[in-house]
Amino acid sequence: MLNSFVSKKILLTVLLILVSFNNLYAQRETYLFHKAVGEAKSGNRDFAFIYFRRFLQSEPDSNLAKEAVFALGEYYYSLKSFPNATLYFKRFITDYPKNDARIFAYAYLLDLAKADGKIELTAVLEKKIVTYYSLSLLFRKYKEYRYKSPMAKNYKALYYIDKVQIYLDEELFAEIPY
Amino acid sequence: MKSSLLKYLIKNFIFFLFSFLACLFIFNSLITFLFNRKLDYLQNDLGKYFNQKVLISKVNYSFPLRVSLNDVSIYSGRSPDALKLVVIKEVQLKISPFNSLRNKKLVLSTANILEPVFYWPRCLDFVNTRGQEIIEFIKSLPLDQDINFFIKSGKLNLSPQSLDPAMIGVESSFRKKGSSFISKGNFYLKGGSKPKKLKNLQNKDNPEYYFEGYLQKNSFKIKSAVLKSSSSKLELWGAYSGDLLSLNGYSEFRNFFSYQTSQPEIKGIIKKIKMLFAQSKDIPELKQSSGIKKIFDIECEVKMAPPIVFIKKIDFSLDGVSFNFKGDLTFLDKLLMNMSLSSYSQTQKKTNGQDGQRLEAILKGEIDDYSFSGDIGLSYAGGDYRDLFNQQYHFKVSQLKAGLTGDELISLNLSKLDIYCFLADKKHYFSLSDAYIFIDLKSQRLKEADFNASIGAGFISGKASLDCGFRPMRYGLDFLIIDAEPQDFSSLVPFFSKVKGDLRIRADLRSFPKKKLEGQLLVDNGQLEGIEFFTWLSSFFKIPQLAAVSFNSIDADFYASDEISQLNNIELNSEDVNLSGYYRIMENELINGHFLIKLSRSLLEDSPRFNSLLKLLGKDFTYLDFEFKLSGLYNEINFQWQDSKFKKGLQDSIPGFFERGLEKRVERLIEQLRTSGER
Repeated sequence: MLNSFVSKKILLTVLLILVSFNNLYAQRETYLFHKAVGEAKSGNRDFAFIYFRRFLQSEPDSNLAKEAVFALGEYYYSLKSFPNATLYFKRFITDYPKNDARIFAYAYLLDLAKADGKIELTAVLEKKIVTYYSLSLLFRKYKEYRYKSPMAKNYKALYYIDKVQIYLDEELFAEIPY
Repeated sequence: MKSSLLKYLIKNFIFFLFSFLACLFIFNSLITFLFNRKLDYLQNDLGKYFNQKVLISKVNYSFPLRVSLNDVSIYSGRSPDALKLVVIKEVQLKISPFNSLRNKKLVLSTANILEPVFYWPRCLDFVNTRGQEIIEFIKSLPLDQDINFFIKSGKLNLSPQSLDPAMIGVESSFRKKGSSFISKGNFYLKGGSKPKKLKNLQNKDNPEYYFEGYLQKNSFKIKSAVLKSSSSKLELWGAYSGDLLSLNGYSEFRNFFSYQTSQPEIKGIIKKIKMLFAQSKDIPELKQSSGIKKIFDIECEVKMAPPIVFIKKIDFSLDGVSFNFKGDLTFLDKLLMNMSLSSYSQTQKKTNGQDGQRLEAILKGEIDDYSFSGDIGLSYAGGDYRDLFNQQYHFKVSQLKAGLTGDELISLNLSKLDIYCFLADKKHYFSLSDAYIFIDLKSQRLKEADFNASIGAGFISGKASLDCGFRPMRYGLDFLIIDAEPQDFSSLVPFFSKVKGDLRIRADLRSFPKKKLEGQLLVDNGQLEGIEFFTWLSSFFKIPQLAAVSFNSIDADFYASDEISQLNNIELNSEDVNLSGYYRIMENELINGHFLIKLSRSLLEDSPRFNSLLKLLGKDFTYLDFEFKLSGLYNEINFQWQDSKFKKGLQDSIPGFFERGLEKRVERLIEQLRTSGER
């Protein structure tokens, strides 16, 4: 009887240790992400980049991974490291097809395509953005979509009947007539 | 004394001459009489070689060694239903005295065949089905016997059943010397009636042929077979052995689609000044292009197995492109054909990895009673997808008859023509019936064709042209369609699948200065159904009549090019619904449009949703205007309701949250409609 009581105690202890370890591990991964977001809010984009990258390396299948991918794309774009920016924005578009922030990833790629003088790619990306949403405007002049990125940037897309405007932190980033 | 002697001699000479002529006449008449007495025997004897019926109306003998047969008819067999193969006005036979004495029987040396008429399709049939017998007969001719045949003023009747058949004139000679055979001659075109121009045609550019071959032990060697005219030449050589005809050769021809213009060169300052003051402008000198095309490495193998001719291969190369042709022809009571042509060029490669450009063609069908029914397929891979000629076409042809009119036009008549084509990766289908096409190829530069046919429930007529004076060639098409159903053209214009009524279209298609199709269309007394925008209006406002809008007329101007397709000046007129505006589809499949829709008061009063809103407007209006702007993808159209007095009044009377609620409801409804439409 004593032996069975002791065995149960040992088993319970082991289970407790395992659960705690799991929690610790989960907390650690969100910790990295939240740490990165915190650094971004504080304006420390370089540290934010490090934490986002570490988070992505350790937990690429996490639900928060898509945010990290977008954030890395933004960071590389801000450093003018355009090939890397392109890589991450393309990854964001293909790996997360249901995420509405894709139009802003397309907007970045459009900007890069225009800078490179890639006419055909520019036309393809413009069409992607313009047809991303369908519109029915009865009383409104436009439809608005907003997104706040993990790097603490505010994005806004205004869909008019004949043009799309993309704003980044309230500044016009791209305008596509159609 | 001398004069008396002279008179005596002359008298005797005259007497002798008359006596001789009298004897000659009597002898000729006697022999002629005997020949005509034995006419049946002569006819049977001539017909025994190929077991044919031969009819001769009369035989004449001329001293010393000439016999002529008048009105000779040769048939395909001896049975009562045997068909005439050739009718000859006169056959003049010369006997060889030396060979006749040596062989102790009459031996022919020369035959002049005057004004024969060959019923060409039947002769071809006869040669194909009994070719082996013909060859055996030739082999059986004595080697040491030389024979000459001449055909003078001959005709090939190309359409024996026709009352006004097309004819080709032929002059030919055929000579057998030992084991060798030489034949040469020329052809010229004869129409059923003789327009003035034919005289010129008969004097120039007559195709000529030359053939030389010789018999060997088990084969017939073709040393040279040449067919040439002023603009083309084909030379072949080979052998016929067993049942296999093998030929090699080459050809050259003037490019049918080649033409160039050049300005006359003015040399000298005086002449140039004179030109400036000349009252009439010089017409640019039209100079035929030297564009000669050469076909090399012709290799041909044909197996004769009556009634089938197997074309094992006819290979050749043209402009660096290899062509392979093969198939079979079966000569029964109708001619069955199954042939294919393919070509392959390695000179161009598409960027998407497909190798080169390929042309594939098939011809499969039958010729019965001089009309063709069957399938013609053309497929070209590797070109620009927007080029009309670089696509895939399949024609199902029923009873195609070809002929020549008195105006030297090629006429084609089809009882039915189904056209399947793939343009820009989309499949299209058209069906024509009772089609008539008249093709004018007389001009070296401009080729034209007039056509008319029934198309679906309607009728199409028009004119097509091809200007060969430029590179690339320029084409044009003008046509009119009346009394047609729009849905018959829905594969080409998907929108037409939603329109019913009497369609009339006048349009022209041009390739220069840029490729475009433009014209006007009118649909009378019809109905619009399944238009997404109207379906939404109908569902939202609960107005069932808008789901299928009956109209008195719709008319619009249309324009299509590589960059844009558009309907402008659209006007829809009906009792309760009027619509005007434009609709454009860009190259990138994005649309751009603007519509003004007028809905009648009576229609709006039927809507439970709209009835309450009518109070805003009062009673003094008969139509309410709704103006919309359209954009987006053609299958997911964006729209915006433009500002109007009614809209402003409506906005002023409803709270903001209601506006937003209404917008959301509309969005949900549209999404539902789209989802159900996709299903």
